[in-house]
Amino acid sequence: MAVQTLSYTVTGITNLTDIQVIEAHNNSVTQVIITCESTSLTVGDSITVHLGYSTGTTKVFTGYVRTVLQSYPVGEYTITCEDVLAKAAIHYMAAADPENPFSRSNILTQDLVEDLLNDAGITNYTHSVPLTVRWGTGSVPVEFNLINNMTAIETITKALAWKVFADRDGQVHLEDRKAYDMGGESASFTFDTSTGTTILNDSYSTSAENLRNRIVVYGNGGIHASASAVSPHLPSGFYQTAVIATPIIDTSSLANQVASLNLAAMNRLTEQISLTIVGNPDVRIRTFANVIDSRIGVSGKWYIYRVEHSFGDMGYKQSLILTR
Amino acid sequence: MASIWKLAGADIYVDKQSGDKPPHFAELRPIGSTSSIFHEISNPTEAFAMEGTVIGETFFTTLRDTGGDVTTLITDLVPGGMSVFVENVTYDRLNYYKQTVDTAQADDVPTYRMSFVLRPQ
Repeated sequence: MAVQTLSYTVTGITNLTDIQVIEAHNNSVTQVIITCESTSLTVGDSITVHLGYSTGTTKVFTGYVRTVLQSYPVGEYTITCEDVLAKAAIHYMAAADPENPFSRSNILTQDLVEDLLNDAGITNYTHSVPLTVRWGTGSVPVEFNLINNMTAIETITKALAWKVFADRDGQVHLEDRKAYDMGGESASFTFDTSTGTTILNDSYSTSAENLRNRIVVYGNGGIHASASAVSPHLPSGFYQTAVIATPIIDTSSLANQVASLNLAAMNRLTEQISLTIVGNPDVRIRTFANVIDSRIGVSGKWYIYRVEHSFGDMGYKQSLILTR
Repeated sequence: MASIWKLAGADIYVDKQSGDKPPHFAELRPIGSTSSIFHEISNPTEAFAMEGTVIGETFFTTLRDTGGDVTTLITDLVPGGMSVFVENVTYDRLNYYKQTVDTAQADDVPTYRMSFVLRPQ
């Protein structure tokens, strides 16, 4: 019989009752919900969360307090937190002079994203991108106004099928990160039902619901492009279409590039495993795991797409979604 | 044989005491496992129950009103007293014609059966 004593460190709280940490590939920010007996935290305070066992804990979150709720007669606090990208999600771009909005010309993607992050007060940033893509190279600059910075950033990154995210230490990354093996990526974890030590429940599904084998791009001033391919997972001659429409696409070459990048990313069957495992704070999104369960016919390497940590009265568990 | 204990300075003739101190575990049962995994959540405060007879309205009122308070319990094993939180108080009036237990009080004073749940502090 294995007995593990839960252990945690959370900034500024006393007598933790329950904590949930939600990390997901498709979420703009990582969220934390804490229930505790007392706290010194107020809105805007920095917070870090370490979870694990008496044998060791791991940092799973760095961010800021967004709301503090105190309830009676139970007399407990509920605190919600989000990572640093919440600043970009909240910060609203509204130029004092509407004739002079945020504007850039002939700028690399990574530099444009950096400028948008800086505009929202985010400076801890790094990038690793495989292509040189420039914006505002046509007759007009790329401009943003009357939207929040995160929406502006995601307009750019979604056009290229790239991702912006904050890691567990609070550093923001720009990467070409897809929800599947992009080639030669190795697994950091193994989840195998035959060991009887990890998986509490699991399920497997496949779906063509999110498959898009035709991409149509509408840009500025009538610029347009499209890309398509036959899919073996759809009826012959049938196309499921996605439209990307934004005025910041201002050249035909950029429109073509956007269409082909998104076709490569979206023309895929979605295979998904849902797992609940015994909590391991080192398990995180954007890594890979080998999953073996002969009962549902699953084996091989899978991308960890979502991790929801539940730490409290029911022990420490993680609900995972893995994709390939 | 009952012991005369004092709770908040009031006499109670205790004839029953029980308690528990259950550690709080979550049991996880992985697929294919041959044994469970236990996550120790907490080690809660011990709780013990005390039952006895209370003679007279004065002692009864004092004891009845201890619910929710932190007060002192003097027992035969802890004559110096210990601090306890009174989590619960229940009582029944006993229909006795006379009491002869407490000779300092009249023989026709009300008599009660009271029980408490206490948590040492």
